[in-house]
Amino acid sequence: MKHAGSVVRHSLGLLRERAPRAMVRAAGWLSPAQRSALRRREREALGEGLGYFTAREGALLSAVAELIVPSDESGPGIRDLLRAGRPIAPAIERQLRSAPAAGALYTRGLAALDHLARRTFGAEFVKLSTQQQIMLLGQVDHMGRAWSADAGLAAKLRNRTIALYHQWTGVAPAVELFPVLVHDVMRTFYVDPASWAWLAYDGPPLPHGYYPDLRERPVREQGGHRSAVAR
Amino acid sequence: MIDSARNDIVDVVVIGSGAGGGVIAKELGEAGVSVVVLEAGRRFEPRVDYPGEATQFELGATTVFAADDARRDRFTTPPGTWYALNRAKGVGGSTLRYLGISPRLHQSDFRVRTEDGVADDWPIRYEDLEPYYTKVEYELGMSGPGGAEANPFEPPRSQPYPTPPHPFTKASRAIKRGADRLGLHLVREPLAIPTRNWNGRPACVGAGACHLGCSIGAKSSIDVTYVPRALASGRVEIRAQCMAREITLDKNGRARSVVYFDHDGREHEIAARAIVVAGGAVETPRLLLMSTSSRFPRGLANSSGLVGRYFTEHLSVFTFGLFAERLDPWRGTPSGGIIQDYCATSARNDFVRGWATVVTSVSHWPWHVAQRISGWGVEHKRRMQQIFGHFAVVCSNGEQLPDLDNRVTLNPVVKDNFGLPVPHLVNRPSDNDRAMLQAIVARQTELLEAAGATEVWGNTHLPGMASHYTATCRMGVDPGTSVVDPSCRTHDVPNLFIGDGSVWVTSGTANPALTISALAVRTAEGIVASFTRREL
Repeated sequence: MKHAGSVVRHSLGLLRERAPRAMVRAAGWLSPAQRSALRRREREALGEGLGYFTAREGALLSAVAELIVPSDESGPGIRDLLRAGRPIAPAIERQLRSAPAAGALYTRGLAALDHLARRTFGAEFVKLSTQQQIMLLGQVDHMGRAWSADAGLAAKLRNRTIALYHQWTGVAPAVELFPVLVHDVMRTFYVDPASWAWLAYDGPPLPHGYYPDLRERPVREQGGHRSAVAR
Repeated sequence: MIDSARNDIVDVVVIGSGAGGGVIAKELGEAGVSVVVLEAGRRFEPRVDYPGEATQFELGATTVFAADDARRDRFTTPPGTWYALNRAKGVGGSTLRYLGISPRLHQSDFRVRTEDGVADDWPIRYEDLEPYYTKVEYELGMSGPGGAEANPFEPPRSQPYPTPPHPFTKASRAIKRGADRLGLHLVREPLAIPTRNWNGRPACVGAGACHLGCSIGAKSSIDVTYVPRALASGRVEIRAQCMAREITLDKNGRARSVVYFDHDGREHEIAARAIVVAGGAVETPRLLLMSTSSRFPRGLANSSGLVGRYFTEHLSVFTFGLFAERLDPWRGTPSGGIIQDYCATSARNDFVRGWATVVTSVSHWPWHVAQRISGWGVEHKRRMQQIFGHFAVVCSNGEQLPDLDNRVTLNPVVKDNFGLPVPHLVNRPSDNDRAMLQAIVARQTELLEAAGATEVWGNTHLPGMASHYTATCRMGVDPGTSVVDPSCRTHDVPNLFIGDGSVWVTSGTANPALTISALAVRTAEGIVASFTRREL
């Protein structure tokens, strides 16, 4: 069975070579919690159909993604892509291919999120209630916004100190990952025809365009979805 | 070290291949003058390089014109200030990503000093430029309204537009409702996108992806219009991915050669009987300021000290309005109409000059709209459902007054990928600009509300976002107060010309590409005449 150890070592190496200095600094020093999590990861099996994420990471990733774009009464979300045979983890992996350094960001961030879950609620993230999960993501999101907010010198120093403290607690990588994760998950969802049908978007616009009369077009059959722009 | 293997001599070297340089190259080539064009960016093949049909359409969309090496496009601004420098490097220049909106300047734009007692008059009049406007419009297959639908504020034209106007989009029809209610004249803007097949290019299909590069070549960017003509003359060679770093002088004070880097960073030198700089209002002064010599210690052709000064833009305010009805703004051209009612100085205002407002619905596809919304989860999704397909955007081109202290200089510390100093940009709105900005914000809100918008947002000045930069080597008759003469020849160096928006004296409210091209045709004519008279 293929294990994760070699993959992440390779990826962290790339991170040191290619990533901006701030990221390298963060990657160069691992908190005790991070170090043991990454050691544990080396023994984990890769997820089914995955070439980088472990099974545990894959499950955690889709749990978080389902909260970023939830499936609910208003319309489809990440869970609907899974049902249609387009799970999120392989989609993210495909995006990582062009940015190998981001792989390490994911690995460390996901480990940190589980660490935070255990520290706060005593169980790993996927075992928590939806409410608890949303609360944790909200906390991580809030920390990221506070750390990067435009502020006076005193506030900047305070934020920097808090960020350093969370490097030590092992939470910081989750804060660094979260905006990237939101971006990547939304990108996956909003270029998917499932979201287009929901939004009654009749794209993509090329090569046919909308002339001569700006008329509506039926949404073309794509990826097993078919619907018409209903109005 | 300069690689001498590629040293050569031609009649004219043109630096830059956009709305100015690409046009000059074609005009010179067709007149029998041999030309080498140095273009810093690469050549783009519309069908290969631009997003076409794919579910991945939006994924490729954002990086089309990005540099391989991000250091290439670096620039700096004073600490604590923000500025957007929007341009494209490539054969065709910034027309690769423009929307094609191409109004002419108004007659009064050429005589601001006389009319309003501020800034300066141009040394040429609208009437001097009119035949050249027409020439360019017919080359590009400009579409625009006539008759009852014509723009009442348009200056006199000798010819109608070569192709009929585009239809109003759904978004612009909604905004037109507001304009009609307020007694404003929202008309279809002249677009450099033919509505009929033109010179072997297909008519527009209304895909709305103009700013990502038009994959069917319907948009009249310079790379698919003037450049093929230039090449067909057999006298023009375009060297892509060649970055000029210095213009050298001979002992008589005439421009002798251009030293440039090729794609691999090798240095070359090419000599010419005349040199035209057309890199845009930022790169042109940058190159002149980098070209220092004992004769011109402050930069080439800079005895006036005005190279890089008067860095002027259009004051842009983007205002978003939410509508109950579906607008589907991704259908049809991104731009949807223009309002010029506020262009002229009015006694009711506490400022002089004015602005144009354009309907601009850029990138309304799902992934791009999702990125405009902050947050995640249920709230993000709710907002997405609320605004997607339901909002329209208007944007102003406000006439910023030229200010001596707004300028392009060289950053002494920060370097680009070739180790050249990057441009440092200072552009602060003046009191007149700020008063105008307040009025723009108020009028654009009023417009969208009159159109039925239930929510209005954005609506703040975004410095640099208009993408229209001018006036850094301005034109005039007095060598003490201008860089080039009325034929765009530098006062200081008789065989050095400026072929882009740098020569503008004031910015007007018209998107600049068309006027840059019209001036370029005129400048080329002057260069050909100089060759005929054996002055060059």
